[in-house]
Amino acid sequence: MIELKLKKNLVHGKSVFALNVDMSTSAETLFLVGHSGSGKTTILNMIAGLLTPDSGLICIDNRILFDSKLRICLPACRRKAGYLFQDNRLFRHMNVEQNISYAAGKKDRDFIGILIETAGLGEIKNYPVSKLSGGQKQRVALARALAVRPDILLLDEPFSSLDFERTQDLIRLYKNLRSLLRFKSIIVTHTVREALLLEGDIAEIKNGKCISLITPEKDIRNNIGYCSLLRKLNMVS
Amino acid sequence: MISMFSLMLSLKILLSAVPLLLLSAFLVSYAAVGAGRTVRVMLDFFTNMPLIFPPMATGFLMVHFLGGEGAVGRMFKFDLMFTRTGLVIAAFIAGFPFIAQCMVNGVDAGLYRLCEASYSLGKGKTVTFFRVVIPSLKRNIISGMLLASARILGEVGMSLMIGGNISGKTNTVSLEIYNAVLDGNNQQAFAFSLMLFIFSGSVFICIKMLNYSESG
Repeated sequence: MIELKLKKNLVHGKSVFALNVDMSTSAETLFLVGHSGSGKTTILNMIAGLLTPDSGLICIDNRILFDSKLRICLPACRRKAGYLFQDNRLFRHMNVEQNISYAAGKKDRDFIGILIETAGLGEIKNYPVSKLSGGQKQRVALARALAVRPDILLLDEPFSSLDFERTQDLIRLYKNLRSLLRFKSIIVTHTVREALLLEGDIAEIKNGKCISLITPEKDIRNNIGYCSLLRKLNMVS
Repeated sequence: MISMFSLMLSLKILLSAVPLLLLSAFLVSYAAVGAGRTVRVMLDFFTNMPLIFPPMATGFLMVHFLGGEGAVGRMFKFDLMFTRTGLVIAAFIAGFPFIAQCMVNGVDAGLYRLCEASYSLGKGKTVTFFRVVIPSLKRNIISGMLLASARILGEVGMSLMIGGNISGKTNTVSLEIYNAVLDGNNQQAFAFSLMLFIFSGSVFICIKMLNYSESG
């Protein structure tokens, strides 16, 4: 169960952006869909503990990460929230394996090995991250986010910088890792089409508010998901 | 014949100031990561002030506070006038803006975002500082130390005020250029100037090479 009740006033110069979100879902995956600046990444940052809400509740599978009434606010390092940032944020002074083992800890060598193999990073595990392509960086960042064995995985526009093939690769990897580890996910995307590529509830965020939360029918998902993939290939206008 | 004493004195002062500068570099980067507006304004002030404020005036204030008759000197019963320790402190003040600015620039180049990534990977502030912040700022530390070294070797104002330019005791390389010209020994002044020119030029080339290797 993902429960989010978030209130936050963000001041930018003279303007104030009021975020007021109240939603809960029992789905394994929750998509946050909306335009740029609607507050999607802000919500992820609050769940990760990188930004503190003014008030509210963040509860993942009965584990309270933040509760203003009970005065609970776990620091980011204790939230067990893996975060795939939009700009991947890999550590440039470490190679691929070191990035992943930094997150997992050195004692967990077997797990690191499995993660690297599942992510298909075996051949490039000693590469410096600066030598990787965009798709490879996303794979490393995803493996690194999962190396903390998270309760919840936060993905901020994971497909935005990838072409069709790389998107498919990442989705395959995501599904493989889902079968390896159990975790809830919250995925931020720009469009509903991307949200239909995977199973899960879809919440539409507009001006800092959740204006709808739907569970798409499987048929719709399959049809629209397929259409979106075709569109990505520019096969339909 | 160049004065080997001045050369050795300047190098010893430089080496003594290095640990202080490194420590300050760590502290500045720790303070700069995720700093609020007040801390940033204070950091900017202390980083830029020694560049803007005249070294001679800084030297005068050092005498006023750190000399035997100075406020701090009297309180803690010490006298840094005409001593090598005084020269090391002057060197630190002269070099600090350069290393501090390099660290702040490194932090501003998206380092806080890497820290956020580290926190989300379950690491606390201390682990993040030593395993992410410092390794990420390695080039900034080297650039800052090189720039600070060049500045320290060229330091005159504060060294003159606190050290007194005493021959055979506190006459650093840069002061010795001045002394040599006063004595009409242009050959020695030229030799020291050339030495400092080569050192400064080497520093510039090293920093450029560091920047190229980073962008490449």
